[in-house]
Amino acid sequence: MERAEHSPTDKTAFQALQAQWDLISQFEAVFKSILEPDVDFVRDSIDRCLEKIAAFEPNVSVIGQVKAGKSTLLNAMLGKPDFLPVDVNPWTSVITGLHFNSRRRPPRTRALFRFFDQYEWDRLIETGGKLGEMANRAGFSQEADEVRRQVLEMREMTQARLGADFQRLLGQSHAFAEFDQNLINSYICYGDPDDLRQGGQDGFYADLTKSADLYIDNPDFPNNLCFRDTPGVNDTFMMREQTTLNAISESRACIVVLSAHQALSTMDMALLRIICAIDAREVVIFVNRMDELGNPTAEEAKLRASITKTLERFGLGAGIEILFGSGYWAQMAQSAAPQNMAPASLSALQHWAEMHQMPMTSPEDIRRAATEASGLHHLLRAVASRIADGPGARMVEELRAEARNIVSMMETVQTIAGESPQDHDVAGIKQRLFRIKETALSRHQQNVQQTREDLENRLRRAQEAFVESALSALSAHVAAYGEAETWEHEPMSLRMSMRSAYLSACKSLDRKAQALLDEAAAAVQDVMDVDLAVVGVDLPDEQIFFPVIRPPSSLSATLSLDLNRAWWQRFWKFGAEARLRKKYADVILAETDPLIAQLLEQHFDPRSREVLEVIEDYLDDRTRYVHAILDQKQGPTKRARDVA
Amino acid sequence: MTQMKRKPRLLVAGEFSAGKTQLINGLLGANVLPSNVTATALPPVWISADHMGDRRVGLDGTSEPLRDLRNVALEGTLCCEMQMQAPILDYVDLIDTPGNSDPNIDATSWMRMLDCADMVIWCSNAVQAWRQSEKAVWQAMPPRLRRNATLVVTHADRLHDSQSADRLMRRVLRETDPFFDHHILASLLVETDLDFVANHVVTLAGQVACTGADLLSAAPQQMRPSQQGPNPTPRRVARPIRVGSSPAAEPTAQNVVPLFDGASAKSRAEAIWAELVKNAPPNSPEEWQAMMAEFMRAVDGELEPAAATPARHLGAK
Ligand SMILES: Nc1nc2c(ncn2[C@@H]2O[C@H](COP(=O)(O)OP(=O)(O)OP(=O)(O)O)[C@@H](O)[C@H]2O)c(=O)[nH]1
Ligand SMILES: Nc1nc2c(ncn2[C@@H]2O[C@H](COP(=O)(O)OP(=O)(O)OP(=O)(O)O)[C@@H](O)[C@H]2O)c(=O)[nH]1
Ligand SMILES: [Mg+2]
Ligand SMILES: [Mg+2]
Repeated sequence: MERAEHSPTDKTAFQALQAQWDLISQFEAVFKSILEPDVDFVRDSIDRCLEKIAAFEPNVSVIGQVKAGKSTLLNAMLGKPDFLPVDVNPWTSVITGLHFNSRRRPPRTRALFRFFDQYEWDRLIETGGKLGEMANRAGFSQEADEVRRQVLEMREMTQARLGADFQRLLGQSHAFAEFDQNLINSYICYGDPDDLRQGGQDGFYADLTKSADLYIDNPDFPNNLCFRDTPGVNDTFMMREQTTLNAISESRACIVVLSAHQALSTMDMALLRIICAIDAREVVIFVNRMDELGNPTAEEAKLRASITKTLERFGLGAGIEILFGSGYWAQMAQSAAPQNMAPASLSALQHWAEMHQMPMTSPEDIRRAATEASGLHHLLRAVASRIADGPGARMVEELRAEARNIVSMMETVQTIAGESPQDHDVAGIKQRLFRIKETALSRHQQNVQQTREDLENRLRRAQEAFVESALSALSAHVAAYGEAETWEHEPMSLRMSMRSAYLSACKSLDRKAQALLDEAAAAVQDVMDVDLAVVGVDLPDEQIFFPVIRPPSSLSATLSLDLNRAWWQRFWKFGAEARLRKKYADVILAETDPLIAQLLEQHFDPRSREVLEVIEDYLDDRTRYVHAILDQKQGPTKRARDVA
Repeated sequence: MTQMKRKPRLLVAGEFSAGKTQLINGLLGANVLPSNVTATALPPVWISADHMGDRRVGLDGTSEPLRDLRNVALEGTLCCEMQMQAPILDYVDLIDTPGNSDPNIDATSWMRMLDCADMVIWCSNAVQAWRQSEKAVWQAMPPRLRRNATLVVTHADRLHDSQSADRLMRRVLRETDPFFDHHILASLLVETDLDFVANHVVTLAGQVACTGADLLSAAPQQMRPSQQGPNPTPRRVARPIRVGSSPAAEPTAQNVVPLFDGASAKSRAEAIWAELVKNAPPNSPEEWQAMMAEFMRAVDGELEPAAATPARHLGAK
């Protein structure tokens, strides 16, 4: 079918972002130009900056419930209605990265699909098993069976379909220099089981595919920006939800897509609460499917009021922008004949145009109104400015600080080169510098140990407090209503207190690292003042940047299970109160113990290694700097002797 | 003539904004209850021809006259009872419920009403049909209510073509088969679709009434309407009930994909009822009553030895 492709995004949407990107490119050029002459002692620092720039690709994840219209929205953004697969049933099966103008594109590759390896596949199956185990522990054999059934069914179907290829594909990846719709569809959508049985290709590899990356060069988009399509949450196939939730913690910005006919359900709230653990400023809510309402402008006001009220009630909302629109309108605006849109959507658009005093007579009028009403442009602009203000601004700040450090070190070394040579106890000075580093590292080691213990204690206390509060709430409930009423206790409070314990442990570790680096810097300065006697030369003292503390994603592991109120609700059936208390306490402990272990091992330990890296880099930079000064002061003859 | 002690009660539930109120208004043939794009924060509303006027029933068991439905506080309210006349109310009581998954409304608010329901219609919007949050509710649904349960997939008009409708309903059927006996895809804005659902409800009412033994014993004491009013003669308000053969009741292929026609009877009693309805569908409440009587005779004869015979309860006056 012939389809006119009208560019959907006018470039102004990305203006704020583009300006920042240009600045970053300038830094890059400057760093590269310094690399030329012999300035060995800053080479490592510069390489580190260049790597940072090369790896800088902010991620925008598009998330929401199944069938909110996420893929449709991304297609509209691309101006290609058939790009990502779309369907009336739950469809997107894997996180799909759309990399725009990426410098990290593997050679001759436009589409890259990675498969699970044996270990990951087993673990995926096991994660299903874990859900099952949890259910079993809680005494719900029915749910446990359900999860087990889902996992096994998936495995059987995949193995039957792929036959001998199955084992061979594990751990492999498929790369393509070109791709089309059919190709993509065999990897990133579930497919219809009936179609698949009859040899259909949609979803052929879906269960085995771990990630999909598509590389798109399009001058309408800024460089190095990645949008990610995700599988919808609240799907009855629960296995993939964990993947989507993990994607959130890796993303710098999230677009939460709601459906206008049911804007903000408990599911959406749970999702938002998890995301807002990141940083509320980087979340945009897009209420999609406005074309399905009779009078979109009037309803918009009502929806906005109701969403804002609910968000406030739950202590969220400050800083979250709420936008309205329709992926379908955007899609029709890009089609050859926008006037052919579904009658109900057209009539809604007429309402909208009337309120906004836009004509609707010619097809071009309709196109213009649909483009405007789609909200796409506003959405992109909001996202772009959030990226620019968030990760973009931070990147520029870091690069600026690094550049100042490097330049000031180079200047000092050059000045000293002009002075008359002097003799020094080179070995002694190097020994002192080495000891400064050793001391700092061992102090960090102690800090880590101490902080980790404190964190663990705090997590245990949070757990105990939660069990206590849950049990007393339960007693109160039983006293008031008897056992014949349903009851539930919100596990979110435990989660929030665990999260804040973790975040404050990380912050405290950062503070301690900052303190020990200040001391180490003072010691190095002392070496310069006393041993090297370079009076008036200071160490560069730009701000130290520790990596952003990411909220622990494992705390959000079980969105569906949380909301599977049926579990908690059925506790009232357990009979006598004493037994009830015991049983309930056991369940809570069993479910939350792994959370504590994960927080420590999968989040805190890696974090302390990240901080260690910053400490090492910082001290290595200073050591090299002092060495360079030392070299200069030794004079050319001494230097030549050293080399020989 | 054999007479039932009370009419079966149909609870309409589902996620918020799924179309529950639209469906009930449609069945009543009048816009009795407010329906909204955003969540309608109303307590459960129990509509019956047999209530004594309109009242608000509190959680503490007290009740008071109901003035304005829109001003009733959700908190502390068990439900609002409304007395009215409509053809469908000659066969069943209707209970509208606040939506599930609304962050501002506790799910217990509607779940409490399960105790007094005899059958459930679950509404699910076609554009986001059957999600985990719905499945979780049904996994916990008392088995008594899983029987005869109907899934109405609403907003059928939002699907762009019959192929989409077909794909959707195949999936929905695949996933919901354990929970529902009946699956209907309908647009609640289309008269013929509403007729189809109305017919279905009347047929179901018959089936449920015939297994009324557990129907009556299952209802906890407090949940029964305090007094049964004298049955006033029905006054036609709007929607006439056309059962069975009426051509208007045929679903249009485009709008309705009746995947289940209500014929797979669960018990001998239901089979008998289905047979009766098939041969001579009742066209008025009077005929329906007569048919119930005939049915009771048939059942009395055939099913005597069965454990708790439905006849005893149904026949008792
Ligand atoms: N009327 C209308 N339909 C829409 C809109 N956006 C999406 N749709 C339709 O809704 C259905 C689902 O869209 P998708 O884009 O697949 O939804 P999704 O959120 O990606 O779904 P999953 O990948 O399953 O989570 C498709 O049939 C779309 O054509 C919209 O704004 N208006
Ligand atoms: N197009 C279309 N609109 C419908 C259909 N059914 C309901 N609606 C509309 O959807 C909106 C929500 O319907 P309601 O009946 O209020 O939904 P509800 O389930 O009672 O919602 P709550 O009471 O808030 O839980 C209203 O604006 C209805 O007009 C349908 O089949 N097609
Ligand atoms: Mg999708
Ligand atoms: Mg309602």
